[in-house]
Amino acid sequence: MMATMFLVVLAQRPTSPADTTGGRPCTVEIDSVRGKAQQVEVRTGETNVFAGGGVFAHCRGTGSSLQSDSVAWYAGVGRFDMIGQKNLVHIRDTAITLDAVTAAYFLRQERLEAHKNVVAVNRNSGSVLRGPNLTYYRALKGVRDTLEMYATGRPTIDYRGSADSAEPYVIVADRVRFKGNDRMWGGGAVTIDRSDFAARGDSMQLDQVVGFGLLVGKPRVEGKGTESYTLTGTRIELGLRGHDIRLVKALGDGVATGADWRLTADTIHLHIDRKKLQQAFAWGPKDSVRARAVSSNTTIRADSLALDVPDQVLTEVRAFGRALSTMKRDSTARRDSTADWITGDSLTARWAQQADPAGGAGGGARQPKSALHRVVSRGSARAFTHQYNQRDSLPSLNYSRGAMIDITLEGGKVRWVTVTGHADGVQLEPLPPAPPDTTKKKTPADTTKKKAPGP
Amino acid sequence: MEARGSVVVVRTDGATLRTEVIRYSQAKNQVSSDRAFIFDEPTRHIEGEGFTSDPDFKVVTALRPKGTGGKFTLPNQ
Repeated sequence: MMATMFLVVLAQRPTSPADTTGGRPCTVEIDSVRGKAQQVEVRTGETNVFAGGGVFAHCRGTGSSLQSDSVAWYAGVGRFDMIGQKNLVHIRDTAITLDAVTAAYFLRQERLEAHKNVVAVNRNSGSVLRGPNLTYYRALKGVRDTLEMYATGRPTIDYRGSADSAEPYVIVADRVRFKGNDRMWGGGAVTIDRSDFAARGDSMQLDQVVGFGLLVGKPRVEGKGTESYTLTGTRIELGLRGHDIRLVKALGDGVATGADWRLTADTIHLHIDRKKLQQAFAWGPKDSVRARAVSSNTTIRADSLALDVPDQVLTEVRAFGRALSTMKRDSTARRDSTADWITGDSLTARWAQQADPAGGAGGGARQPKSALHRVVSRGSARAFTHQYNQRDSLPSLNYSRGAMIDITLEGGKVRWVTVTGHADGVQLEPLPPAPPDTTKKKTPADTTKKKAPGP
Repeated sequence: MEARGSVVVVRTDGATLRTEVIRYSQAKNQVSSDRAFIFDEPTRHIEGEGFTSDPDFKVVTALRPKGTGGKFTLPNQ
């Protein structure tokens, strides 16, 4: 009497996940209607059906099933309503399981609308959507070639690229759209979180087919963990390989920050492997802000920069085009705080891992820290350095020019400066200490002050 | 009017209804049964624990029905 109404929601998914236009017949078996069912023939060939008290049905020989407190089928408009006030409507097929308070299927549009306490699980990938509503468009030949889903009211999505992914990305947005199993868009205060990664933006796009992600509108990406990093820019693009993020790009006003460095440039690329930052590149057009890398004691500016940060530890910076590096001097340089600097067509600066003398307080283990130990300038190289020796308390000043200048540092101080190719320069030594003023001995001490007679 | 014992109603389109008791109320213009029934037509098989209907079986209310809804092929097959 009433069984045909169930058919529309028990549609079988295709056997191949890639082909979303297929389907197969479903022979509906009503397991039970615990209350009453009524069919009303409103005109010849058009019968509406209503049932309540608990409706259970399944497709014969498959796992597709439906549970609902009440249902209504309106044949004229091809609409099937399911209501689950006491128990949620539960729809399960080979591709998705859906729970909601109410659901309505519009046969002619192949559209399912679910409202209130919606939980949809993609059985292929394990992704889960939770929110107040979901609209699901089935693939239909001649109508649409790929399934689509829309959700508003700030749903939360546990997004998995594949079912075996250990940890999902948790995506929250005011509204989201899915196309197929691997493309999605989010709008309105988007947040993306995972234990090793967090991203924010006004809008986002994710396309796992081409391995592309996009954040716009005050975007911000943050790598979490012991050696964290952040990246901001006008637009941030993500390069994906499978479910992992391998490349993060900031396009326009990029700022990247690591544990012991900060990178500023129009464009910044961060290369990530094993969930850790490995390399960074920064550059920009001529009329933009020049690329700049700043570590605790060193600032490097150039047309473009390349940073090696294996497993998020700074080891080397290469600077190209009007490169300039300035190095702060240690805190003992009180009388002359002028920084050391080195410039040239290109620069290479290398850091080494050293135990942090500030660490280990209370007997704890000392954390290694990157310390600059060598800077090499090539092409029209110039350098200004302060050099210390054991004889003088003040440093000597060295200004050198050459084809290449190689500076070696120890303990934050310049140890060696090697200039090669058309080398010249100037070395200014501090004044030697003044000889003892023997004339003072001949002058009797002025004892008058102490012995000044009183009034 | 009331019919008892292996009642079979055959609709003009061939569908059959089987039950032990069926009643017709002229005042209500209603056919009903409070016993188990079996409804068969080429694409459907329904069983229930009672029903109420108009004589033309255009408005039918069944109690606790179950059965097979027939084979359905999606539009894009």
